[in-house]
Amino acid sequence: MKKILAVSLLRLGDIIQQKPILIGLKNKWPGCEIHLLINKEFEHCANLFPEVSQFHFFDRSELQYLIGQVSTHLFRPLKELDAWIKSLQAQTFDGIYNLTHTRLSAYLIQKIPAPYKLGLVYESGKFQTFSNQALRYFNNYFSLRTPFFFHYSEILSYAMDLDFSWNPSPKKMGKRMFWIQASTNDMKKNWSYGYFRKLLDLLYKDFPETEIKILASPSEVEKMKVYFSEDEIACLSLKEIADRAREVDLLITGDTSIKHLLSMQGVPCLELALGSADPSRTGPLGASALILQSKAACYPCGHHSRCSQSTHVCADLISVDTVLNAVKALFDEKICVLKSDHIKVSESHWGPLGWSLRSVQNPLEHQLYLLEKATWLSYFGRSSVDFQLDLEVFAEAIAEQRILEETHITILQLIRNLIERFSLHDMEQFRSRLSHIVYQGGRIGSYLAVFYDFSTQPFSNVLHLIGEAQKRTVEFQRLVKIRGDIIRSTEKSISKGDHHESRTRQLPNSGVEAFGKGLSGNT
Amino acid sequence: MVEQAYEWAQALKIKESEVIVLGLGAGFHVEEILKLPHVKKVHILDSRVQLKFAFEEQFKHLLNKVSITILESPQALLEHELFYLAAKNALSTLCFQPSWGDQADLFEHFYLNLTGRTRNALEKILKFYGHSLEISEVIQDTNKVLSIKDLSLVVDMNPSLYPQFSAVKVLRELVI
Repeated sequence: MKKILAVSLLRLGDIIQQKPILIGLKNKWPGCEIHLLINKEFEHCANLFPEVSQFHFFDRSELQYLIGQVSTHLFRPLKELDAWIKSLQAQTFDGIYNLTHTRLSAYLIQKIPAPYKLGLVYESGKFQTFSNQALRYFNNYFSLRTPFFFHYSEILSYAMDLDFSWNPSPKKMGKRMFWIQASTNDMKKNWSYGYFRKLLDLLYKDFPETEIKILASPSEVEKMKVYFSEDEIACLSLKEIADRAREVDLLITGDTSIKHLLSMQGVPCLELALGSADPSRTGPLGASALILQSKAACYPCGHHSRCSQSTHVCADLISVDTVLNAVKALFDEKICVLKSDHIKVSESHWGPLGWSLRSVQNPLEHQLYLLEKATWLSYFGRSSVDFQLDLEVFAEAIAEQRILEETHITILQLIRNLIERFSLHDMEQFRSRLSHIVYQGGRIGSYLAVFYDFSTQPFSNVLHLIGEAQKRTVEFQRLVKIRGDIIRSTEKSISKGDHHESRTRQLPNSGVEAFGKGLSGNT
Repeated sequence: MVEQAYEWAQALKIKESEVIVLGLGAGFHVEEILKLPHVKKVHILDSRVQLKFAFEEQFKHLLNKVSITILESPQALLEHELFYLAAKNALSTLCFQPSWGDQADLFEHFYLNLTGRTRNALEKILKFYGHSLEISEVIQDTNKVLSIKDLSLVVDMNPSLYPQFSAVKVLRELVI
């Protein structure tokens, strides 16, 4: 392909996180011309993307203004939009990659001819997304509050049939300059200015040589002056922030686009993940990042919902002292000392399987996370890598494997019942029981993603439903088998003792063999 | 009146070169609109023929940039070329209400028809684009002021309008 249109009609943070996809496109199609379509309100970010040959801007605000004005002719927004679409049609693209999972983007792409389209598209009167397994997984599970095993940038790369082309910049160490991005785009994600004020005072004592700046947009400056002096506030443009990244030794931030921008440039980052922030999906993509999350029962809340609490519980549970200790731990490389009953501490981790969040308090959990990630990668047709499980984790993985296999048997039985009775009533019962299984959630519940849209998808008759159920069950079985195979390969390495004996010096082969028998009997 | 007309015109955000003004009144607002940088042509609709004569007498210097239409009913408008000009070019209709006098009800009907926001007007416009459709099943209330949501519904219910108006689906997504 020589000329590609990438469509990214989301927010600034999402556009910044899509940089690896643009690089992936360049790698896949050397010498290609990349055009990027973004919302006009973010045109100021254009100079952050040297890999883009030309930007196109969708003027959402202007169209919304025209739609909302009664004095405007009912057909005027349509006329404006048609004229704009014609200008894009004149470009003749070889391919369109829809990086935006919205109906609006799918409708737009339908109007722009190209021999190759990938991502959510609207063709022949319906939405079509499932051109590959990664895209389906992304479509079904990314926006749910269930465990997810890929960073947004990673899964979007795979969904676009690209390699994940991102090498995190090396970790920087220094104490010359700290930046604080105190405001996010959502009140419920904000740690209060009052807390930041206290933190700043403590940082001055512990890091007397460090220059510390609070980043602010022009509209925030007046409000911030109540808490911070003019000298402390830095009102910088996005371009200035990007250009000065190399001066910055640490960014303390909420879930913001600045977090993505700076962490992707190698700036060590301390994220206070509050409200609906979900660092397991959109955490800092840099080599060095520490993330503090509250253990409040309501965290994380819904992306579009308001805070349901009378006080900002998730923010209040992260104390100023905890944040200060986290900053110190980052520099002393003693992250493991961060312990609290109220917060979860994680760090960004880069390994052969890509990016992940690793719990500082429960490192074994990370191995299970990697097991699921390896399973999905293999399912997507991406080459997996060998890795090891500690004995304790290995036992848990086997127990979970049994649950998955039992679930498979249950689903097969449900289908068998349906085939025997073949009634509409049974069809509804089948869907209801299946959705119960699907929504039980949890880490291994994510394997039921293949059934996720089953309860909402219309089926014309029982036969249609049975056919689709059987097809999905085969996919589910394949996933479970891949997972079992990976565990078995791990078992071999444990049996040999080549990893654990050398590392832990406490794993007798005989003990492992007992687990091995358990697994063999199960498969 | 002149000052009021000036303030009204200055507050408008017009990017088009051609607009419709509803109500002739004393004519000062028309003069002010024509002073705006983009505006080259103004179509005026009124029901009072005597105002037309007065305007032509007082604003002779504007007559090459102005066309005045006098109509007495909203139905007459639906058959008039001004309505089709508005539909074809999706012209905006501007209202300087002090110029309406005691014609407010009539002018309001003019206004909704000129902007394509009544059921009858929409049917006429769709016919103009080659689609003779009965849309009363989709929009039952004849007095409803139509929005992009209604247009989207009409397009959804009438496959013949697709793909000519398929971009309506994009616009529909911009409305909650």
